[in-house]
Amino acid sequence: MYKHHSYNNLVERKLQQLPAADTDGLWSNMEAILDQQMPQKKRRPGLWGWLFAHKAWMVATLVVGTAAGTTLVYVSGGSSPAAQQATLPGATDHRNTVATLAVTPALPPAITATAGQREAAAPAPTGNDASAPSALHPIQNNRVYTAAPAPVTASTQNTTTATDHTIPAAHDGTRNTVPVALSSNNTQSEVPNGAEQAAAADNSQPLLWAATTQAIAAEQQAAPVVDPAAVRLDTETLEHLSQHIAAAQKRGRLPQEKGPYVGVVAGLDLSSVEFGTMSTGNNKGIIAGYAFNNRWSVESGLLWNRKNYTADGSGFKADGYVPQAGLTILNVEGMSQIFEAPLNVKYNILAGRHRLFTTAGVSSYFIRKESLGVDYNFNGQVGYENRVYSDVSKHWLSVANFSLGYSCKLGSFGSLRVEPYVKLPLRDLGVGNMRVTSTGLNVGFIKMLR
Amino acid sequence: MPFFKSTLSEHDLVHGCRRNDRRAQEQLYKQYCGALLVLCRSYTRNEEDAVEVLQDGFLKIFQQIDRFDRSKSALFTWMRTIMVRTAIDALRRRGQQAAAVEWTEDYEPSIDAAVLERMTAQQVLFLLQRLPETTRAVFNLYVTEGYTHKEIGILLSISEGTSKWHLSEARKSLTHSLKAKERA
Repeated sequence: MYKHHSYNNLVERKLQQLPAADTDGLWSNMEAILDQQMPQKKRRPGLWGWLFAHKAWMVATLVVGTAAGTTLVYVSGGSSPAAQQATLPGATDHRNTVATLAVTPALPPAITATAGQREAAAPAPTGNDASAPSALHPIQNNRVYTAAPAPVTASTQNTTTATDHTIPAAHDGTRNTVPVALSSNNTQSEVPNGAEQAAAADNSQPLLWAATTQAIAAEQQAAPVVDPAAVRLDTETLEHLSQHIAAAQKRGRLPQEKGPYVGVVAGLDLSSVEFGTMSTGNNKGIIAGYAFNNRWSVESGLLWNRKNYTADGSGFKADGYVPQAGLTILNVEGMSQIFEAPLNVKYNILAGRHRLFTTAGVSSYFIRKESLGVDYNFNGQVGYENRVYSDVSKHWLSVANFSLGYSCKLGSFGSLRVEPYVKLPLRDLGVGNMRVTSTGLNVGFIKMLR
Repeated sequence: MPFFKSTLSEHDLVHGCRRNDRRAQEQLYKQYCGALLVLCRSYTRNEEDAVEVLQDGFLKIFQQIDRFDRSKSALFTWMRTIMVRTAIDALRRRGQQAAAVEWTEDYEPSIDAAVLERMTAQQVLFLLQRLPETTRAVFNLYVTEGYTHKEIGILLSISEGTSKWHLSEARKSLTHSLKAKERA
């Protein structure tokens, strides 16, 4: 057996020069036979498989992003706009802050006071209402913050027209949230003191609220005495700070931005092999990053790219392909569907509402599908072969990224980003082992998670 | 043309095919389809028969992949053997068994390799396909696959002498055709 004759290779070699088989068509036929003869067990795709198969992940991302954004807007903007305006940086420090300030009559009467405020304010006696254990200490020229768990009516006597302010109590079950009414020294407050409140609560409010109120009163009485001057923040200082912030905002100098952010991007991709003819593709995805300050941040994400490219045969180095005498590759057309995981450093050249930034980093490519069509000439015989591959390869940190972009803040909603980029291959990519260079333009929307 | 190679290793391909994984089967099929179709063409009369043998052979390959033993042979050799057996089975099904002609002379007419070299692939295929089926099978088995007449006799259920006769007939026919081609 296996006695070789001088012309056996010759016959076989001759036959191999026959036109290439239509492998895709033959495989379709074969697959039908296999489905009949060797059926596969139907496996239910997992959640991710289903999401990817139905491309619902994009929709899901948008829905989740929108929900998260809405929640953030709601959480950060839950108080009234006026109260928001009065909120100052450093509000968490109860010693020098009236966290939510209502220093002008124009502000809404309902103000949220923290436990710290109660703690600081409760023991401070006032000439006006020293007997009221729940009365917060007087601040700045006759202004008194008073805790009022029940609807409170405050009348201002020194106004030309007596005005009654009815303030709804905030029964939210949270001890730290106590409505506060604003009155002056010329004001006769009808606010009940702590004992009266407790008594009233016994009669008209649920037992839980009465117990809570008593506990608050007890806590306030037990709290250490604090110098009122330590928590006093005069109107002039507040006004000065407000003016300073307004001026800074007007000049475009925003407070330091620090923290995580997320966003969605999409754009146009132009790819070529070794700076040859460019073909149009696209990309889209989500990004996430962390800003260390107004200048520096790091970014990553997951992008879904579709890259098309055309090249002559010079860069074609597919595995298993051996150049042969008489064989010339005329043209290679490729299409790749790629998951890209970038890791970039971002630097804001110009910081402010309008930003000019640059990024640099590397990307990992996970090629999900690749289609390659090869036009060739073999001893004068022109042919074409096309193959489609799935789950082709993973190329870790294989592409260098550079971009120069512009972003503009869109109020509290986030910022819009326009980012021209270039991606240079650090190694050969895909089935054809070709160096695919990409450039393009991404447009994105970024939201700080603060 | 062998431009492409599967992105999976041979081990992964075999393992995937054993799990009846379509993607692995597809890659194995596409990787070896071209070479095995050439083999099938040399055993059959026309392209349709060649494709039929090819598909039957691949079905057997996928069904019997569990029997493949890397320590005994290379994957392609194993697949090629199955494909040859499939071609011979097809020959048997068609009932094209040759008459029991015995060949006792030890004479093998030579084929002019230089003339063969000058012919195109289509012409070589045409010459092969003009041979009677059993004669063509014997020629392929003996010349291309390297089987002995005794082995061919067992494979085709013919005697060793009949196998020799078919080989001699194939050579005569091919030599005659080559000379005619040369004269032309």
